[in-house]
Amino acid sequence: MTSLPTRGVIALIPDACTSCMVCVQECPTWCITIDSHVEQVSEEGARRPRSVSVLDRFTIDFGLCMYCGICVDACPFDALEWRPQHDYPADTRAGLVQGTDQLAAWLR
Amino acid sequence: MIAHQIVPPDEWHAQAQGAVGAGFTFLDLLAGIDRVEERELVLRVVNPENDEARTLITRVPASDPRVPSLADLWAGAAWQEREISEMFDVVFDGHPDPRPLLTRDESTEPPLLKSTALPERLSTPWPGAAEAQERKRRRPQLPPGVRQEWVDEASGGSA
Ligand code: SF4
Ligand code: SF4
Repeated sequence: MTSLPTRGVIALIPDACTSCMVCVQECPTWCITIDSHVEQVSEEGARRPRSVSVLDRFTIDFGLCMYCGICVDACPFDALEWRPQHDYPADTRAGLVQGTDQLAAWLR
Repeated sequence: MIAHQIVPPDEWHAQAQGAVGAGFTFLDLLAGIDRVEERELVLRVVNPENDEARTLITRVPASDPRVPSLADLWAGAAWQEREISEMFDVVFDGHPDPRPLLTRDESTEPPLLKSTALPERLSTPWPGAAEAQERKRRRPQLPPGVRQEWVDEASGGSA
């Protein structure tokens, strides 16, 4: 995707995201936010339950994003991807903030 | 890696003129970079006949950031130089109209210099402050773009 001459939008693969916060901390414009919580998962045969982060909310504010691609490069789990879609206008400022559902819908 | 040619500031105009003569008549990009000790200027020009591009770079000392204007070669360079001038504090000799392009407040420090403090960043909550469970740090991490001395100054000044 990065070889495209244009940068359309950044999509999220929610199942690949571990809520590690790397993208949030690397983003120069502070336009990514994440809410997550930790759950204990018991696995068959494991002595103790395992702690896993569960993603509650992931947003990108495309009113702030400058399409630098640092988040895509920085994600250790390849959970962010460039997609070619470019038509996502909004008639309010808040409408430019896209959440998990829309970010994932751009994968299709 | 994009092939580029680094030229001394006193050859900046002649090299750009040479590029125009060689068919690179389209001004694609003229931009500044703060290299702390130096300011860098990047010029990318395109030959519209065959889409070939040429990139020229020059570096001027931060103590005297001065370079000849290219506005006589491309009228459009005048705007880009005005922006570089206000954002990176570079003087373009021979510029036809060196007013600031985007900033209105004369007292504004050049916003894109690394030394310029960003007060908004000190008063805006950083979304990265909430650490993931596995990455708890002993010391709170500073957001990118915010320097410790700004924080010290801001807290010292208001205390
Ligand atoms: S492309 Fe850059 S500005 Fe946009 S969300 Fe990613 S890191 Fe932030
Ligand atoms: S860097 Fe990747 S895995 Fe980590 S929070 Fe961001 S999108 Fe999720």
